Amino acid sequence: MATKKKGLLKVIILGDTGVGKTSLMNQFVNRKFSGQYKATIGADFLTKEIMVDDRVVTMQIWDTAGQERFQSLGVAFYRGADCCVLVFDVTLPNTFKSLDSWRDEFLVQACPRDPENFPFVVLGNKIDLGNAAVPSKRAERWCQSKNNIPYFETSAKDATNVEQAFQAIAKNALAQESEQDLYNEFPDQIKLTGDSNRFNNNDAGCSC
Amino acid sequence: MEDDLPSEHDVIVIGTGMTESIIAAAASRIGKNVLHLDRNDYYGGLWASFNFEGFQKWVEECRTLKTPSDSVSKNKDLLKDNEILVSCGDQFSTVSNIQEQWHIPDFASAGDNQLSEVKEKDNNWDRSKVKDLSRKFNIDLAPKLLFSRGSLVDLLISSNIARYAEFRCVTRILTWFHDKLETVPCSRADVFSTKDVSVVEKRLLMQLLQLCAEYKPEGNEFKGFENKTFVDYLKSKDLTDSIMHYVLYAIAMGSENTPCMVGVEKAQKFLSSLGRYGNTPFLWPMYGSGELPQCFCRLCAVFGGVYHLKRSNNDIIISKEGDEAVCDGIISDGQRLKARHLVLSVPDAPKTFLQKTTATGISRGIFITNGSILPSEKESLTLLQFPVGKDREPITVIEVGPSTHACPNGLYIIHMTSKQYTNAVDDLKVAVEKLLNTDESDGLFDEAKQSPPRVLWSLYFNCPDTSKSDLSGSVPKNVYLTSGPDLDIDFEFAVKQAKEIFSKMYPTEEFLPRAPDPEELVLDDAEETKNESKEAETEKPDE
Repeated sequence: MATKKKGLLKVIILGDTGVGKTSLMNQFVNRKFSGQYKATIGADFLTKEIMVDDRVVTMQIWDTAGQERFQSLGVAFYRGADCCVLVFDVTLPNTFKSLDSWRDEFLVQACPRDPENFPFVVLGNKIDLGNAAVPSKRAERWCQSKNNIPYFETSAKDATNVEQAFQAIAKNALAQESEQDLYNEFPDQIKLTGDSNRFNNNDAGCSC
Repeated sequence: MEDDLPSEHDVIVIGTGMTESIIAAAASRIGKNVLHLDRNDYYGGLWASFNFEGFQKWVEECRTLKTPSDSVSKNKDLLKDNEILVSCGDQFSTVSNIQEQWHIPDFASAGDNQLSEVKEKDNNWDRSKVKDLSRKFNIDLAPKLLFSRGSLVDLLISSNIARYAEFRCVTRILTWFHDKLETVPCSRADVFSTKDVSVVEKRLLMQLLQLCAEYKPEGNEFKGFENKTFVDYLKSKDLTDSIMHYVLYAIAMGSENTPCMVGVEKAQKFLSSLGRYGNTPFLWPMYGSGELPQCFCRLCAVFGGVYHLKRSNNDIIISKEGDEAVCDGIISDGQRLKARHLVLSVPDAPKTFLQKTTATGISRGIFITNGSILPSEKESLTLLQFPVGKDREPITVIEVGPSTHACPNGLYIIHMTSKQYTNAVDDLKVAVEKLLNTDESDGLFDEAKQSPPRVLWSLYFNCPDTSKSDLSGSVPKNVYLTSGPDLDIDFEFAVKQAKEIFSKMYPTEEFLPRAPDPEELVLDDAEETKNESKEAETEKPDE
């Protein structure tokens, strides 16, 4: 399920069910929020072009499609990720406690080249609810202990910090990407499309 | 985060192999409520790909005899009066004749300076180095290729599931002729540039390929050969031995017993897939065949399908409706789950469902080597049909390298697959002896690369093939069994079976219509989403 092209950043969002992964994506890309909770249906991945340091990059943000609910994300989901966003709900301490296992799960499944320096970003979502049970200090401490992961407190509902957070995500992913491009030895991957003219030499359509 | 599964479903699917996953996606796509379970902590069942550690765990599971769980008796109180329970099968017990072997030493425990020699030089290997690089491996249980114009490529494109997958072209097709490997010229450019074939032969080969490519059932070319073999036909054409060999083994992928019309059709299929994506007719999925079921599962999930891996202890609830047995659903980990339809992979099926099923066997061999069976300048992705004499089907050999993420740099994975005649070791012996060097070695390969390549690790096993059997004989009327991997080189059978089962469940519904692109969906209000996606679909038909 890796879909990496040059200039395309694959970002995956992980975290417990109901912490607002889809809403954050949707707020960032479509600037919309729906208060009505429904488990993620039809959410696949969203793309958005953004500017990072004078460079236009396309972010492709992959939703879990609900497969996280019973810890059933397959290894294919993680392929080729440039950045991993870990989300928890600031009003539910258990969703914060889960970050450890989501981070571990990511590192095991995605097996990035350099696990120590792989770019993560942590988002404490739903600060608009005003009854945070996970103090900023506690979240920041955890992030510091994991090689200084950037931490943002966000509200997908009010769009608080969403833009800033995704900007940081892109920036960190980009730093990682340039490093990976250096090692990109195998460029000839094929995406299937309706009528491919990828292979457009004399053999195309020939009957031999 | 304990959470109960929803208790009512249109379709419950047990097993996440290729066929089950296609069915799950198709049902979910038309709005059916799908629950998809797998006993393992990975997707794919007997179609899975593993890293090295995962593969060793799989071998261990197969070797461990399990005592059948007595979940049936525990769950009895969830049953109504007229119902009975049957337990799901154990897929690991269907795998037999496992033989795993290291051909290189383990220096890690010795701790001597040989270990540093292994670590320093890229070409040197010991067991600990292979294990340390475990995550660089993606080793397939059931390696398969896609015909560029085959039904799976068509389905991936028409359903828009192709966006989840990436492929590589098979770069060369080899054949074993006169006791050595030769590259088969299969495209026009190849035929002209090859040095192995004379000009006269080139013309003959081109003519013959043209005839096969243009074959239509009403034509006259093959009249009189309907009851003869493909070899008989080829002999009638005054071909040289090498041309005959190319066409029979590499292009028609047959054997001396292949009937003429089967040979022609297979050659036609091969030829029609040439040139779409590359120089050979075949594609190989990046990260291995085990990636593809997951693409279908993702689509199923995107449309609301619920996934639960590591869900074992599933029992099936059966009651009688007149004379017919029907399934009401399952009891899974003590929870009763209702379903209109139940789809089960054969390895997960209760024994009583398989009374009328006959299985043949598949012999598999997997080899980690330090080089290609036919070294070339650039890394190749290779297909070879190794002929095994008159009475046997050829052995399919697929060689994949680091560029497909099959293995770390410097290594290759060689897959062998054949019909089971005795057991995997004996069935594959003839190809192994000719193509590989299986001698024990010290793993210090730093001298010039040798051919045949050295084997670092090998694994043999047998598994059943139920693709030729009617699976509906002993099952309740709303239960559908899917075969495990079949012997064919491609996924055509899985696609065909998935379509058949889907149309039995939903005869009037479309099979995997195109899923809208994410940009065509707005995830805001449920109502809005529905309308907009519909509009998007009508406005933007397949480009």
